[in-house]
Amino acid sequence: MSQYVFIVDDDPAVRDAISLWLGCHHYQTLCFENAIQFTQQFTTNLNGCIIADIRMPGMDGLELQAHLNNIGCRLPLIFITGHGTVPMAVEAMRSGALDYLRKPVNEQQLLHQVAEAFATDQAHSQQQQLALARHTQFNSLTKREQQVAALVVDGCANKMVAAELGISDRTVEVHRASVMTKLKVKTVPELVKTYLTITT
Amino acid sequence: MTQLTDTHNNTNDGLQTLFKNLPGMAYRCINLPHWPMSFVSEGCEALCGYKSQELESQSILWGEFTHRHDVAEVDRQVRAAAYLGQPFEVEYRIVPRTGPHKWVWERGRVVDKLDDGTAIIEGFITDITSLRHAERMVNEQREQLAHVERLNTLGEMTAAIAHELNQPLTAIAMYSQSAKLLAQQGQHEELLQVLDKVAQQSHRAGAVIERMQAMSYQSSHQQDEINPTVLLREIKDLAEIEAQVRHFTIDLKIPQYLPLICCDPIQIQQVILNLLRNGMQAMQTNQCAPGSAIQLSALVDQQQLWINVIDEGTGIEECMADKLFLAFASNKNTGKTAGMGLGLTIGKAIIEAHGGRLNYRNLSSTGAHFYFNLAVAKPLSK
Repeated sequence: MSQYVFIVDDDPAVRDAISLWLGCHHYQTLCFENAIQFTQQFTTNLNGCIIADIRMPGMDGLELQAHLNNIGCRLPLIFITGHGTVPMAVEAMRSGALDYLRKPVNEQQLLHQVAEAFATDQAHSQQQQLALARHTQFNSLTKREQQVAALVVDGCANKMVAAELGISDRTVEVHRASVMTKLKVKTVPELVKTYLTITT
Repeated sequence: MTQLTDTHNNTNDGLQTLFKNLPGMAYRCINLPHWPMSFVSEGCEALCGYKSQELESQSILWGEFTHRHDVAEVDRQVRAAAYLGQPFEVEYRIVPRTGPHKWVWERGRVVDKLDDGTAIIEGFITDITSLRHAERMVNEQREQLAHVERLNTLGEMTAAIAHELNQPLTAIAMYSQSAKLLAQQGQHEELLQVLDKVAQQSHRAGAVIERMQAMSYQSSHQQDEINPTVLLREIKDLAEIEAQVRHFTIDLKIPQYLPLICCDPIQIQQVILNLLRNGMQAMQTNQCAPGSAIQLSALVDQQQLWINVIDEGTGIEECMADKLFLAFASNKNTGKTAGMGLGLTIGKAIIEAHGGRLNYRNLSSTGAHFYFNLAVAKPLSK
């Protein structure tokens, strides 16, 4: 998984300087001169973090943040601003920004924040991958296996499952073993836990 | 009073009705200390709380109501008018029988003389307290508004400048730290490029400051040949409004002919207006008597037009002398009139942008003398 720092600032010198500074620390960067340009090229499978100015012509930083929240983008967002107000900072942080740095930005602080953002992003995407893997596992169950799993999780004994589904006890046992293997769980409590994380 | 009732018997009733409806008090008095009244109309009770009979019997004298701070001034004006045989108008405070003091407006004139030559005065006095309050409120609001306006402009300017400067500063910080790393890694070619960028950004910051200065004095490039006589008369008229409120006068002293000067008239007027304002404020602090004059004068010397503003104020304190022209140093640090202290700094900058100098000296008596010079555009042709 490769992570990028997406720099969104209308000032070319600021973009270039931040890009160079982070580049010196082996970060891969991509620059955008306005928020709209960034949203046009943005896809949800990107990894890394965003550094955005708050005051930009067209779509400003807070609008960008709202837009990204709407489309379910979970990239950590670091705001930098020339003369931000307190209410602006409050709104940014409340809407989930990682940090709010004032220009002239302290370069060490920026490095620190980018490192933290990457860690947050990595944790996010690991969780996502795990969830994705579980979904794949769950989807590999046959329709009957899914029915059996649901009833077992509900607390039904094999006999009750058999009666409910109108199949033999023996068949239930086979389906149940298959469910345990496909979902890579060994005990019923494990099955319940995995099942619930997938379906909720 | 006897004279009035005897000779105008027929019209007496009509007159009484007329007096009753007056928004104030009509009177006839003898020009002696405290003005004993021989006739007062009914309005007297509303004004001072005593019945007309009490004043007419002269057991109470009108002059006793006059506020002690105003006694001398009222006395002076009435005496002068009586001596010259002219009508007079005075505004002063009275302390009525009950309640707080009131402001009254009085107009009167000498109508006759007693055998011994003492003047008999007839006139009218009315309550202008609410008018005064309204005036004061308007003044206070005007002052507050001016203050807020200045603050706003200053705040906006600061924010804009901060933003403009923070961009190159951010870039410089990042570039120079990167340069350090590149130097350590021996990447000289990249290093040189980055150093160039640092230089570019510092020039950019410099340009912001230059542009800011240019903005402040933008119009000084659009200088015209201006007739200083017109300029000074205009500014006198403008400042007169404020002078009237403060009960001061502006004494404009200029020679018959003044040569044209090359300047931005609005800016120069701003400077002069500011000096006049400061002067009048100082005079008020110094409790100058109403009618005191602030002097605005001009003279030509060696192809320079010198403009002077001379006040009778408190003068400039020793401790303020050094920093008088620095932004935010203010001499007016009391209460609502506390100034932002930008006036003189801007004034000095404007005059210097015109190639002149703004300076001041304390007068040996009292007050300060502010003066500046502007180059004459064309010498006077005789």
